[in-house]
Amino acid sequence: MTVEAQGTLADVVRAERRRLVATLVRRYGFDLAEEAFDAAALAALEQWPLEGVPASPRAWLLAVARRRAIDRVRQQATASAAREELLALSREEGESADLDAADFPDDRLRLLFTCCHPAIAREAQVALALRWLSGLSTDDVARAFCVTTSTMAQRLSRAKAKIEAAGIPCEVPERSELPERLEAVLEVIYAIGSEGHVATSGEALLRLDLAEEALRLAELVVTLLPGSAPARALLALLLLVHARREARLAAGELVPLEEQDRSRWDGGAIARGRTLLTESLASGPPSAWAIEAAIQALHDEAPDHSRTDFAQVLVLYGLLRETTDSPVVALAESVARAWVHGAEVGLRGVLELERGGQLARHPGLFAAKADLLRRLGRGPEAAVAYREAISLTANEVERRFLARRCAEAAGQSIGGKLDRG
Amino acid sequence: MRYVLMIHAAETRFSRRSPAEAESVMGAYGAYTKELFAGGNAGDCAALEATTTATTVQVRDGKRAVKDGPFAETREQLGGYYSLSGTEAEALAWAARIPDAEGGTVEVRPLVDMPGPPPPVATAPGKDFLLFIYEAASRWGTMSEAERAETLARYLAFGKELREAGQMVAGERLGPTAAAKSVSRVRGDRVVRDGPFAETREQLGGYWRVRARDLDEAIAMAVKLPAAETGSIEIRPVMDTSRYA
Repeated sequence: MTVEAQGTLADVVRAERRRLVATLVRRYGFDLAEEAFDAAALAALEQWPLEGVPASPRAWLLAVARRRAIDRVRQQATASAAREELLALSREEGESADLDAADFPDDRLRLLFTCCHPAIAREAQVALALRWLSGLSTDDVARAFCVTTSTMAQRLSRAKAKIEAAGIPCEVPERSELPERLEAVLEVIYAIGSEGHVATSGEALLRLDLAEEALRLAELVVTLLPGSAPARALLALLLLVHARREARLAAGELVPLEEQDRSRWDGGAIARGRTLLTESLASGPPSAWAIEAAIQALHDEAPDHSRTDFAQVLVLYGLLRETTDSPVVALAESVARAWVHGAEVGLRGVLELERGGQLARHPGLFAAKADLLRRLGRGPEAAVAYREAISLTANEVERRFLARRCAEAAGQSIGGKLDRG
Repeated sequence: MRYVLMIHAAETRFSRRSPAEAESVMGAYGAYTKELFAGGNAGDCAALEATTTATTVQVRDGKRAVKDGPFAETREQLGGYYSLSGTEAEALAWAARIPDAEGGTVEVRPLVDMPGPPPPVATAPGKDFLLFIYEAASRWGTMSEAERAETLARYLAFGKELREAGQMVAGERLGPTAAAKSVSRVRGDRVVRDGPFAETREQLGGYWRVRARDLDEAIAMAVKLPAAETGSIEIRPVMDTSRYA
């Protein structure tokens, strides 16, 4: 057995992990599912090199993991409970005798709905989805949330305990509840995607991994619920933003949308995003996801920033504002308005939001305010706003970008004086 | 008269117990429960899972809102209850003997008899959930006669549906908080004061103990309660304490 072949086997096992853990969770709970799979994986890495890779590695792994789980249940269960449990388990083993080429996508969808159950707090929903559907380690999930591993471990185990003790089912909800429940699923996927979108120098790879994970989950939902227009629109939105990933950084530094090298955008992702968006729009009134995707599509279509169809962008923000009273959406609209009606008009909207107070801790508000003041040549005021934005930003790359702009704005005032002199 | 004895204590009191301590406290509850039920006057009792497993639901404008956590995020929480019939003096005496009366507080509230027969034994499979009704204490008083009749009819219909499905374990309406007494034990001595455990605008007005397949079914039941539209329903899973019985 060569090292490379070992590597290949390990890859096969890893590829099956996400899928089979989702299947095992349903019957055996979170911890036992993972333990059973890991035991099966270990057995595979020992036996396959000697006995050959089985015809269906998935079926082999599932069968071994199930046996392991059943053994554990036997050990753990009290005498009376064990008999009942074992009866159920042996029935189930009989049911799934035909495992060849079995695919269990439904189990992943079930698990996704379980993780996104409304009776679980939003933060915990995202963490559960990353941990149990994406198969990230607790360490990685903790890093994504900027909390310590022990804090995240506690949050995850509390959520797992709730699922198990409160009897949250591992099922796709009934049709009547589906739209409402699906919305939570889409929001969790979007939250994962947004997290991935914020690139940081040291953790850039992990964030990209999150963006890709969000895409994978959105693909999964679209595959399993092909009739869902909002799911299609979310996937479109994620693709249309993800398409710009390469151009968002140059030599490790953040490049704002208006300065990005558009030749580095991913044409394939844009085309696919546009197709999905069109399909989503064909089936009825647009969801908020579709409107957001359409805004991103307009950016992606423009040959350069100045030729973006901002008039259309503003129309879309108007539509979006009818579906949500989110101040973050209002902020984005003000920024877009500045490109159509001038920085002065945009600034007015931003200042109004600042007075509203809802975005008092939102770095984006101060970054937008600073940028508009800078464009208006009001350097000293811009510098103050930049400093405010920096104090609220935890992301190193963003901080460096803001600091650079801040220095320029501060220099602007000197330059202004020199010009007049 | 029938009473409910509601056990309130700091949640950390339960969660920080070592396995040995927990075992000994649950053992004490087992012995207490056995003695109370041997007297023939006990109604129902439940130990509740921690509030980290609670779910709160409301219905507003016809839309359900489901959130993680108990109705009120307070340091001290309802951990379980007993219901019994007898005189107030007997209820207070039983309350003072509850293991967590030392360090915690037992609120004793009279129960209001509802029309209809007592619930039959629940036959449906699944697990037990408590649906606790939290509403402004003043609400019933400000309703018109017609509104009261309509609300009562909806509760009765709710109960009837559950009975027929074999999913009703208990359903109780609590008397006013003005009739409540709070009991604790301080170094072995009983201390009784007038009033509920906590003076809040919204108060526990009643509860239903239901048998449901899973949390989704319990939520589907909770949103049918009239109080879901005007107050909040806290759903708490019942702990399996069969091995202490």
